[in-house]
Amino acid sequence: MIRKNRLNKIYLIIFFLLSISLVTFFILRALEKNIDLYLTPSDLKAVDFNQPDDFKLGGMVKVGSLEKLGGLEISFVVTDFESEMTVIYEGVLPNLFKENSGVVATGTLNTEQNQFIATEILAKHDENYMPVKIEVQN
Amino acid sequence: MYKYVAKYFIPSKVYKFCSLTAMPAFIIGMITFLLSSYFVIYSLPADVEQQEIYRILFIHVPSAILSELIYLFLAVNGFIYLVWRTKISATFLNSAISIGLIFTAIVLISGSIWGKPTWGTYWVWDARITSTFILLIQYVGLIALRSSFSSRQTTDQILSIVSIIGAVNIPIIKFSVDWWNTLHQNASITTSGSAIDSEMLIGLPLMLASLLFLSFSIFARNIQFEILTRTAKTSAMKEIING
Repeated sequence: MIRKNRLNKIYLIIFFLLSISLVTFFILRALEKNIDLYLTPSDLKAVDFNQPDDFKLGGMVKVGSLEKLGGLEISFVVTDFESEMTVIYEGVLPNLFKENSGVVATGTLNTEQNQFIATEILAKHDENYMPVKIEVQN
Repeated sequence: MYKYVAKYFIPSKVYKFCSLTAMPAFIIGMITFLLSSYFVIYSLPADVEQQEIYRILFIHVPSAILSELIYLFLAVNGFIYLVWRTKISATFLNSAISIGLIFTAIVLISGSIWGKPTWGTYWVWDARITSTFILLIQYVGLIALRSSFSSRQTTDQILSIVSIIGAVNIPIIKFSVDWWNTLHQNASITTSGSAIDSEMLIGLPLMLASLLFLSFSIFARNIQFEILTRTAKTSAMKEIING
């Protein structure tokens, strides 16, 4: 049997923990869009979209959209399977950057040409790990 | 139930248990660590996408698991200490902080090293990395609190309360990749199975087990130190110390 005063203490701690969790929940809810690392192409298409500064755009590189524009300049289409956005980038690419793979680009939106001018490209890889030799057999 | 558990957690008995098990745990941990390191570096096949660099996973993921589990352990001990006033849980709490700090540092450092060749950056302020960084600050804060009060009892109470509050961060770390857009990928091992191929997966429990043994040996030595500083003057402890 748990003594009465100890039981009260347990209730107190649980109540305390619940209120802390609730506070954290509301803070995180309020910051929801700020905690997101990147915006998706759908976010850019939203009516109230207004972001003049640098921001990050993320999604998948659409299959067959990667083009070399000469030199180190490339263009590709970022998709979240609902909307798309063309990205122009000049510079060094991370190893895992390729078509049909995740990408997070930092840059600005050129609204006239409906292009995203990226200054930095990060590759986002998925959670799957497969041994090399299975691929070779296929 | 209290009286059945409490008799195994008398400081002198815990001290004896720790002095018996610390060295064997260290030896077992070191051997399994070296063997499984050799195994994950040389025997396991490379990954299709990431080639060789994916092997950092085998130190990154077990450390991440341990850094979070140790924090939960702190919070549970803090809870027990606040409710039952058992000094031994305060001892456990004090002894585990530094180990959690080490593993959190390993997670962040190995993640950075892994991030540069795969993502293209050492550091990005996404939800997973930021919340893990907050966990590191929590551990540092707990260590700073340990030496901030003159009374040991006050220290233990404050540490318990702070570790319970901080436990709110653990589910945030765990679910950050699901709740927000992050650069960090989602969890590979979920209730619906593993996205790591079974051939490579075997390295993970091996490394986890070896790190568990190693951290237990450090934990046991820390406990001994804590017990000595707290209760070295009691007759039961004097008997052990003097042989």
